[in-house]
Amino acid sequence: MRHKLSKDQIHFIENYLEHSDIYYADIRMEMTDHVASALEAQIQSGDDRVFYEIFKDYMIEHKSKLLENNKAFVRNVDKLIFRNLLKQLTRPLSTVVFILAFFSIYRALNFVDVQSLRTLISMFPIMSIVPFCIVYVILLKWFKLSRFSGIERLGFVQMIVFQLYNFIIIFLGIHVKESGNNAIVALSLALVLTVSLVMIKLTIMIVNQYRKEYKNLI
Amino acid sequence: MANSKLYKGSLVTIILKLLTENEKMYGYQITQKVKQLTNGELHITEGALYPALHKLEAEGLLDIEVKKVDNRLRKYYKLTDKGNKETVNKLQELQSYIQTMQVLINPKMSLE
Repeated sequence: MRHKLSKDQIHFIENYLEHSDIYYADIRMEMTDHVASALEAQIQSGDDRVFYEIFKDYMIEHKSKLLENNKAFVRNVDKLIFRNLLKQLTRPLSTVVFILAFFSIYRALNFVDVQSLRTLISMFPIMSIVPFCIVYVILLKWFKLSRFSGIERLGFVQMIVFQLYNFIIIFLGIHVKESGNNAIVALSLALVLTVSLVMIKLTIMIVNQYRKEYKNLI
Repeated sequence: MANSKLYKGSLVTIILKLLTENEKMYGYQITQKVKQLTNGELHITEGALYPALHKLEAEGLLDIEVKKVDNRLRKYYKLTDKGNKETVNKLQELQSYIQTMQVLINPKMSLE
């Protein structure tokens, strides 16, 4: 009969990995299974030492490789989120939202004086990030998904996008002062609005994906 | 153990090929299958395998399935349609590479 590790032994491995900076639940789950499978195979092949001795020797030999994997995993998660963001941005629906936002903002700008517009523009990054933060925090708390790589790294991606908004706003501030060109202002604000909505959609998509794939872990 | 640098460039092709022959596989199973097929000649480390699997997943070539097995959760990988197509390309590339290397190592073969 094949040897199986007990629940306590599995829990011990998982705890050890968590304290070794493998803090994302999804990667830790996979590493726990890998280590447990390797230890089971070793015990099965006739190693009759106590579990903790076998575990200690295994980790001495493999720990650096496991941690190396952790870093590469995070890089791939970031890449995956950016790819999905790009994919969502290039969808026809995003183009429609962008065009509608552009024309609505362009028309609305006729009724706003330059000073009010400058104030509005300076508040736009914060106004754009707030809906994302509300959706993000509610989903994290509601579904207890806070330590999943894809979801936590979404916050990192949002920070980069936020910096992009700030850059656009600085550019716009100069432009509004110089010429008050409504088309460029509307174009930039429509872009910020579209990216913000896509980020919210992406957050919901990723959260649902994790809930589906990791329903046993949540 | 064989020179791992020579195998490094073929790791993705090895993973994809194994997944065409097995509906779904998990990380440790892949390392053991490779070891078994090569009589222990090739040993894939965790540090090389998982980044490659996660990269393939990020590129949409692999899909995942998480199941509870023996008191823990196990992440299985399986090929997507895109992954199946990519496997054919990768295997052709590898075969072409092997043929080229054989000709270089044994020039007589090019005359045959």
